[in-house]
Amino acid sequence: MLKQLNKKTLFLSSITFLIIWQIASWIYPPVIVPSPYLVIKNMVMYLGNPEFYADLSITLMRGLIGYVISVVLGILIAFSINHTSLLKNILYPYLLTLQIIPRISWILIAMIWFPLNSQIVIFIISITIMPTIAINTLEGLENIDPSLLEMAKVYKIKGPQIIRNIYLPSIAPYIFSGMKIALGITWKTVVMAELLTVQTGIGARMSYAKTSFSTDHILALTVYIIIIGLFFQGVLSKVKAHFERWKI
Amino acid sequence: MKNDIEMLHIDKSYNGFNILEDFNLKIPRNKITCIVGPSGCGKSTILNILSGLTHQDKGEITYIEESLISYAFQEPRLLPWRNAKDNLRLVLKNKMNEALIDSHVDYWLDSVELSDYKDYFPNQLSGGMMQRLALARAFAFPSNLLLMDEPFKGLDAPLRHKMIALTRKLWQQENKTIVFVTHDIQEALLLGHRVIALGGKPTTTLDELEIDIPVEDRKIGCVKLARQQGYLYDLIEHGSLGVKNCPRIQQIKNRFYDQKSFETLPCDDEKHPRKL
Repeated sequence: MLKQLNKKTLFLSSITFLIIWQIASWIYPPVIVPSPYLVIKNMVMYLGNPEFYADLSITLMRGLIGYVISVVLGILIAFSINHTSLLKNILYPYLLTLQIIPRISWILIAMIWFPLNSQIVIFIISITIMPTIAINTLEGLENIDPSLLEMAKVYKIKGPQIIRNIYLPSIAPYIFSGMKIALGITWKTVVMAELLTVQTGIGARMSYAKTSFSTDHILALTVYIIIIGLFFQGVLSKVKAHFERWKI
Repeated sequence: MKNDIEMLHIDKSYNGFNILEDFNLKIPRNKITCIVGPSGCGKSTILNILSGLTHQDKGEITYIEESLISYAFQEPRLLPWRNAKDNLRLVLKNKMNEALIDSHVDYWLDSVELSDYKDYFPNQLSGGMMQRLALARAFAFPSNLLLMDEPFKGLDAPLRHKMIALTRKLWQQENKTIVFVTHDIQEALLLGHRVIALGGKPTTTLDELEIDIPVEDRKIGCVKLARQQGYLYDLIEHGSLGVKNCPRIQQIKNRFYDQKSFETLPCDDEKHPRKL
């Protein structure tokens, strides 16, 4: 379905959205709905502000570190518990439970457990998205074609070669699907965690904007987060396409 | 590798159902042994036991541990995410000198006429090409025992005969010991030095035929092969009914072995027109 989106449709829908937004900004005061112009003006203003770059880079760093930790951890946990059905039976329900726990609960618990710095944000991201990666990887491991493993056994292909040539390519679609979902959650979580727990980053900047009812600043920062999210989704899509070039 | 492999007194059951009971099979070295029998008679089980994918409940297999095995499965079982060249490279890694692998891969791709497709992924190849690639993999692997489990099933008749000819050519190059399982009697007669007919429940050997016609001379419709084909067809048809010591089977055998005059018939019908 996503492939069917063409540039012309996207352009027309964007223009329609901006028109509706502009009309709404005429009807409501700027504190409720600021105009698109005001938001873009703030975005441009941020580009000339060195402190903004510092906050942006710290948000990026927290998000990416948390994301990478949870992807690696999720894959390792899935591989470890996939070996024995007992371990899988014990731990799988916990992974499902972890996935259900509200992010705000983790934020509150982490505020008690950790000092209020980057650690807390990285922990919240990791604990929130790791179960998604682990569950998807486990699903992939369960769906590996047993006939290929038989072929590997007959031809005496060594363990690391089997992991590299059969396991990883087989589970790659499942991992990428988990990574895509997790990437979206990462940017939402990092901003929420920063907003509630620390004094730095885009989330903290939003918190300041909220106290002064600067809706235009909140929206400008939100647009930056959307741009970051889309950029990394694009990067992930390129990596996925590289791994799946055989599907052409 | 001089000693023949022998399966001795093998028992194998699945879910309480005896597939093989006191089953014996001799596999001569450097020959093609074809096993024919109806579907579900345990032909694939025999190959799976030989390859170590399944273990027998009882019995032993002699000299199998000395064998390095390659297996051409019913389906090509290629890695869809690796191109033709890398599918071959994968099984050769750590099995031969790294420096020789590329030339070895090129040689075998050329042998199955896939040199132009070495960078293609399996989903870009036709069914026949994939089977050829799987066959190249089985022959390229430095094995001394090659197991083939109906590898040409599902291919159309002309392609199947092309694949049989290719297998014969590759065997002549390499002289590997081959166990070829099929339900197609004609395929077995065109390829095998020995054809073993299986049937009954549990499976027993109904008969073993030594085919003395050189493989390169075998042709579809040649009188001698046609007669053997008819015999095996009758044998398997009655054998699959599963009646132990069935007198009809003995009659079929007697009729076949008593008509010695057929044995003198040449196979090459073009040089020697039929005199029936």
